[in-house]
Amino acid sequence: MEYKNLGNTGLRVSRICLGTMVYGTDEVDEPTSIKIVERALDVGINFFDTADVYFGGQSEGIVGKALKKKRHSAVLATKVGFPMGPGLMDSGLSRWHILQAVEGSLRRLGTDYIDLYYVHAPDYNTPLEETLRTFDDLIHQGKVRYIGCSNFYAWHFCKARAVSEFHNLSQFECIQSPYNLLTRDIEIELLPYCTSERLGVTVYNPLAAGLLSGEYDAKKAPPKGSRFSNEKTDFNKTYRDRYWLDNNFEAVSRLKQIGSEHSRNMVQFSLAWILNNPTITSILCGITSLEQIEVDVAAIDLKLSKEELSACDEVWKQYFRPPRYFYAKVM
Amino acid sequence: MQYKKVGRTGMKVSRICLGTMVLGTQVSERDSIELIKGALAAGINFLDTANAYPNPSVAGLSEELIGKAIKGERHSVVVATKVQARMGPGPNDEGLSRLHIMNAVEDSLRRLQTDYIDLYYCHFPDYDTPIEETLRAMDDLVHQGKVRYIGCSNFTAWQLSKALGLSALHNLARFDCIEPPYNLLTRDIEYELLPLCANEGVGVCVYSPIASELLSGRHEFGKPPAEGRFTLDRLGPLCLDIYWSEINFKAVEQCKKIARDHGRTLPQFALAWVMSNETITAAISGTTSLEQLKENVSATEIKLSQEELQACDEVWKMLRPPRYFYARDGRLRTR
Repeated sequence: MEYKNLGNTGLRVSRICLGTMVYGTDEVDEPTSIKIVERALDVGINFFDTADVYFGGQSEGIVGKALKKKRHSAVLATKVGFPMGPGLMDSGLSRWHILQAVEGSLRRLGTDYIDLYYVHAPDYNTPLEETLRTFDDLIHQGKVRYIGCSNFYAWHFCKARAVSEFHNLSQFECIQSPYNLLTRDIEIELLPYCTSERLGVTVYNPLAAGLLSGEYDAKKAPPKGSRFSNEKTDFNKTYRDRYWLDNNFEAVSRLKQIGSEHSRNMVQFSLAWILNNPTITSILCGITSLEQIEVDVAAIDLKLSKEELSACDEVWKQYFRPPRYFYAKVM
Repeated sequence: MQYKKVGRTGMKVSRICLGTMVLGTQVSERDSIELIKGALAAGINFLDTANAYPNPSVAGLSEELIGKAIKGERHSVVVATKVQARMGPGPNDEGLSRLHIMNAVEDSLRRLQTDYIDLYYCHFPDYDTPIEETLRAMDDLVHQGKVRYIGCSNFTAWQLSKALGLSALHNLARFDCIEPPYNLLTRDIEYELLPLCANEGVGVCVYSPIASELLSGRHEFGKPPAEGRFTLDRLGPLCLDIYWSEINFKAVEQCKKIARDHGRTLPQFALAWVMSNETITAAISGTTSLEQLKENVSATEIKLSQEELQACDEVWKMLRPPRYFYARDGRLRTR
C-alpha cells in the first residue's frame, strides 16, 4: 500500500480510502460491509470515510462496529452539515448543530474521537468564523483531530483558511471533492490552489458512480445492485441526474477504446488516472465486494503512459469543452 | 450614462470604461486623442490602460496618449493602469516585485503626466514573487498618495481570495477590483470569481465584452477575418486563437438572432448583457471610432428582458456541455 501525508499535516493515509456511504443499503448488506472493512485493514487501507447523513447514521454505525477492535490503526473521517432531522437547525454549520451532531457521530461510531471531521457542504447562512471556532473547540476538547471541508469552492476554502489564520484557529487541512475522467472542473481553480498551498485532496465518485466501469448502457435500465438502481435511498435519482448523461456515455465509449488499446481494466484505468496526479492525496472507493478490494488496490501500482494521459485529455476537451480561454495565466 | 461604485469602495465609475489597448495601433495617435475626449464628453469617466499597451515595441504609448488627452481634466477622470508585463530587457523589468513596482509606477506617472493613479492593477499573477511582497509595495503606494485603489487582473478566484486574506491579516490595502474577461461566449467567471466578488464586495471590470470583435457580427467562419482586432500584428493571432472556432460562430449566430428579434444591434446587445449582471461594475470597451462609441454608450440604457437573458443561457449551455460540478451553491451572504 502507498501512503501519503494529508496535506501539510503529519497524518499518513492510504491512497485508497474506503468509502462507506452505501453500507447497509441495496448495494451491500451489513455483514458483507463488515467483512470488507476488515479485509481493507488487512491489505493496508487505513483510511475510512463516512458521514452522519449516510443512510440516516447507519453507515457510521456499521463502520464503528467493524472497526471496534482496530480503532487505533484506522484514520476515521466523518462529516457534519446535511440534515439529520426535521428541525430548523438540524442541519448546517452553526455551533448549535455541530455540537449536537458530533456527539451523535461519536456515539454511532462507538469511539471518543474522530480523526478527520469535515464540513459536508458550505452553509452560506452561518458565518465561517462561527463554524471554525466550533471546530477549533472540538480539537481542543480532543474529540476531533484534524478538520477539512467538502464540496467547497476554491475561493471559499481559501477564505476559510484565511479566517482561521486571522483568528489563530485550526485550519481546514484538506478538501473532499468529486473528481473523475468525466468530472474534471477542479483542475481549473481548486487543484492549483491545493498544489500551491500543499493541501490535502480526497476525491469522491472516482468512477462516476460506476459509469466508468463501462458496463452500463444508456438505453437499458441500470443493473440491480448499482448506484443508479439503489432504491433504499434516493441515490438512484441523485446519481442519474449527476452522471446518466448522453455526453458522459459518449466519453465513456471513447475511454473504453483507449483503455482496451492499452489492455487496461476500465476500473483500474480510471483509478490510476486519478492517482497519477500527485496533488490527489487519496481516492474514496465505495467498495461493495471482497473481490473488488484487490482490483482497486492494484490500480495504485499502475502507471499510465504519456500517450494514455494525453488521450484522456483529448476526451475531456472534446466532450466537455473546459474553458478554452481561462481568466488567468496559469503557472 | 450610468455610474456604479467599484465594489465596496466609494469611487464611482461609468458602466462603460474606455479600453485603450489598441490606441496608437488600430487607431491613429491623433484619432486616439479625439476618441478619449469624445468619450469624456459622452459621460465616460473611466479609462483603462496598462504600462505595456499597445504592444511591446511601443509600450507606454497608450499611457502617453491618455496623458495628453486628459490634460486639464485630470480630476474628473478615473484612470486605471497596470504593472507586471515586461518593460525592458533586465531581469527586474517585469513582475510584481517591490523593486519593479516602484520603478514602473514612476514611469506610468510620467507618461500619464499626473502625480496619482486612481486604480493600479497587478496585470497578471507573478509566481516568482510572494504575494505579501506585492501587497506591501502596493500598500506603500497608497500611503504615499501615488495610488488610490489597487486591483488585480487575470488572477484566479483562489489567488484573489488568498490576497484578500493576507491584506486582512496584515492590515494592508486590499484588491478592491478585478479585471477578468467576460462575454456571451466566455462565462467561466460565473463559477468561482463572481460569487467571490459578490460576497466580498470586490468590483469587477471586465474586458473582451464583445469577444475581441467576434460579437460585432462582422466576421464569417471559413473566411479571413475582416480588418480590425483579428488582423492586428501581435494581438491578432492571440485573439484568433482564443475566439475563432466553429462552435463560437454557431453561438454568435444564435446571439444575432436573439438581438434581432428584440430590435438590437449585436454589439449593443452583447454589452447590455454583460451589464445586466449586477456584480459587474463596468464593461471595458475598446472602441475605435466615435460612432461606435455612441452605439456602445447607448447600451447602458438597455434593459434586457427575462426572455433574452434565458435565450443567452441556452447559448452558453450549448457551448459548455453538462457535467457534475464540484461545489454546492446556495444563497451567498452579502455584507
